[in-house]
Amino acid sequence: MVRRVALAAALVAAMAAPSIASPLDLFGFGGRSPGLAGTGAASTTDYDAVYLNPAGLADTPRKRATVGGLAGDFRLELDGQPTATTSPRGLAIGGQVPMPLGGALKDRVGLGFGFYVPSEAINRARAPFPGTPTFVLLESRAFVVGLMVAVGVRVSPRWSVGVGVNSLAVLRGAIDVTIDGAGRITTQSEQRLLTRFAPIVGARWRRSATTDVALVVRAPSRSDYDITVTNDLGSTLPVTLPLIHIAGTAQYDPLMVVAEAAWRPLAGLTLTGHLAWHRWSAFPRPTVNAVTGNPPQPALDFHDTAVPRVSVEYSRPGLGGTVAARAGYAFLWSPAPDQTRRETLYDNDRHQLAAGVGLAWPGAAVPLHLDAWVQLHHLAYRRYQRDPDVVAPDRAHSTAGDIVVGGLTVGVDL
Amino acid sequence: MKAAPAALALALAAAAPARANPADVYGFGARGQAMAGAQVAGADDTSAAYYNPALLAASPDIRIDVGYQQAHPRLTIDDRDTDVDSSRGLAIGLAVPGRLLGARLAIGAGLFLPDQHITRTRTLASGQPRFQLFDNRPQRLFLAANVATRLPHGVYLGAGIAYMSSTQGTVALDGVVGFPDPEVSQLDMAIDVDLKTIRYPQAGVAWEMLPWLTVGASYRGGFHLQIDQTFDITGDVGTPGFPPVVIDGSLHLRSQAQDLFQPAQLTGGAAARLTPRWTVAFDLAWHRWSTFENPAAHIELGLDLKQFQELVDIPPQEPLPLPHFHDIAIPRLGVEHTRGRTRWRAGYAYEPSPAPPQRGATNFIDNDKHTLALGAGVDRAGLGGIVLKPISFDVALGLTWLPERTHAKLIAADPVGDYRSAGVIITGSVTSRWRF
Repeated sequence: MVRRVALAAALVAAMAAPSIASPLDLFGFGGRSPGLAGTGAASTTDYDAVYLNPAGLADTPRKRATVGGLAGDFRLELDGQPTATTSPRGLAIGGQVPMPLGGALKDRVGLGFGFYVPSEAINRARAPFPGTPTFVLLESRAFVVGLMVAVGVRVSPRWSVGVGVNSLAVLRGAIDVTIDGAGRITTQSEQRLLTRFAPIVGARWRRSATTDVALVVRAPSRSDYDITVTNDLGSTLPVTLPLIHIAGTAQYDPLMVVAEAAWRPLAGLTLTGHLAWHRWSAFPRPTVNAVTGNPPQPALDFHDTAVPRVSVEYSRPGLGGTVAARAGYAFLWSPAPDQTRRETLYDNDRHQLAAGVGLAWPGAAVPLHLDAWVQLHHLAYRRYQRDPDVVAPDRAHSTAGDIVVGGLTVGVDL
Repeated sequence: MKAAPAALALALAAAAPARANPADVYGFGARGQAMAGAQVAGADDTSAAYYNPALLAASPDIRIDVGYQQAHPRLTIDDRDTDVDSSRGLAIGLAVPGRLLGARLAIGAGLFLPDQHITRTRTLASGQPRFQLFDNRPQRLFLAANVATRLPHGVYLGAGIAYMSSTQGTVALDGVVGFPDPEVSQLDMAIDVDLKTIRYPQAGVAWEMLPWLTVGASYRGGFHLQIDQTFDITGDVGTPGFPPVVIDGSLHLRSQAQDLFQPAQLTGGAAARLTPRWTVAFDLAWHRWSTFENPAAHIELGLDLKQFQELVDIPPQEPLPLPHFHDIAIPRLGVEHTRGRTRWRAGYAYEPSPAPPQRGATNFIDNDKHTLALGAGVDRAGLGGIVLKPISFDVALGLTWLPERTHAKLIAADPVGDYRSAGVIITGSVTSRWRF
């Protein structure tokens, strides 16, 4: 079985493709996984399982509430010059509960919830004019709320399964610019936030006392907006404005299929290998045509990607409790094709280096769990040579940069 | 003054329903709704996440409550139904207690998730008639996360944060505005819109003063959503492919409005278990409606049509009239009778209107409200050996009556004219309460 999984992983890697992270996927979720470069699907039993692998909640040992935060610095460069990209900050809240059930479900069920709330905006739709260079998968993707709940069940001593949902908002509405009864220009508008749920399904197989294998499927999650602007200004304006359709996709996470294996060759040492397939070929346009008179927009031609991740964690008694050191690496190929025509939706391959530390005093009067992590994302230099038949040849661009981000979480057993 | 039926009918045709926190309007959970919301000292389930966060620490059990509630308003102007939208959705609560430093600590959350949407914001012209407290207030999410602790001597403290969001941003269009046919316009779009996070606090305290008497108080912060939208259109005016009529014209439109106003609220109350079978609860709430502002849009409009500028006739933007709402006090009374595993509940609440009679240019309609509620609950001893603690099933039914109110205009030429407002609202909810 392991050989088959390894062969499949190798085949996917050979076909390899780009990959990009998204809000939670960009940095990971929780206090442990980001220090392991986003791995943890095969080993977590904490609240971060709501995103990593809900099956992990089946083994959650204690009730725990966790709060934390992250802060980052985006240093993205266009033609060697820094861009004004807003750096992310956010608050993470999570908890897990082993359910005290009886009978056939005794000690088999765990619940978890996790929220990530950006400090500035819970959702951001940002798209410049066509032809204006933009880091399409980085500039606003860290600004979206994540609300997740999940349940995990141990169905046998070796198998656990779990299911959860991630939710995003969809904006629909209409705005009418008109004249009110008193002769004032005013707007009448109605905007509705709708919920869109993205299921997360996972399974974990305990192959032996030292090896766990996980498979997780995360459905695509997207946040669309669609607002129609009309006007009824009568004789106020000598020019009639067209019906304007403000529509597009503010946030998008592709379908992800994750396979991961965690191996514990020595007491306290965990080695993890992770391979994920991201279906970026379904990436929708950030904006659609605002008016019907515009020519049709060409396809974006993004392509699917595979993301390999590896990590190591070593824990041992110390400082009156347990001390864990973590490190990881991921290579994230870009799903964006060369931008040879009018489009300037730029993206780079990224190397992600992660490190973290965890301290736990589960038997203390105040049973605390502290986790800290830091990540460095290096964007490999990329040059975009435009098609001279479409764009002037001197409109070539290059992109590069770095992202530095870190976080801290504090959990307490209840 | 005489009514202007045609104008009123036209306004109602365009009309719209009004807005608020659904829990403020209809209550949270079947037990609370059946007791007319008199729960600041008497909430015994996860509805404490709304009524009084301190009471989340009152139970040593993990609690999960799942319910569904809906409200059907029939609000009329001159006996014509204004088609105010019904409100319905899932009400979910969670409370997870534990111990820290020997004291009970609980975390909890409450969520009302409307069926139709998370929130709806709506901006109407200042003079358009609408039931201000019902048109849109119930059409939004309620989400609160809390932490609570039990201190010595039967004192409970709790606090939390509730979340909302508002829309702010700019949409820019650049290209050619079609003239004389606007449908041939060719405009590229750039968008920069944020859903901003809004957090407002809530906190509570409760004290088991006597074995049979609990008193409590809670505070909920006020807020309103700022809707700030800017449209900038730049470029030429004409037909694409032909020499433009106007070169480098521009239009700037900024609309600033507010919606989903929630007043700051301070509530005090008591719950008395007069006998092992009878519990009586009383709340008195103060709602700070005096800070309510005119929610209609403030508009900034700038237009540059070059040589055709003299054809532009933008009317002066007069300031919006003040709504002159005032603070209100709301008494609520609830009773619960326990017989074996069955509970019967009833409640009454009186909510005076914070809105004055609409005699001027505004039409923010509201009436006094009398609410009468009934409910029942039954406990079941666990489930199949898997759920080991009792499960409760509760139902509630309520009727809110808005007695008729006359709005006589001061000016004979008022475009809407005199009218009468009245209505009834029927509410119902079911909740299953699980303890682990």
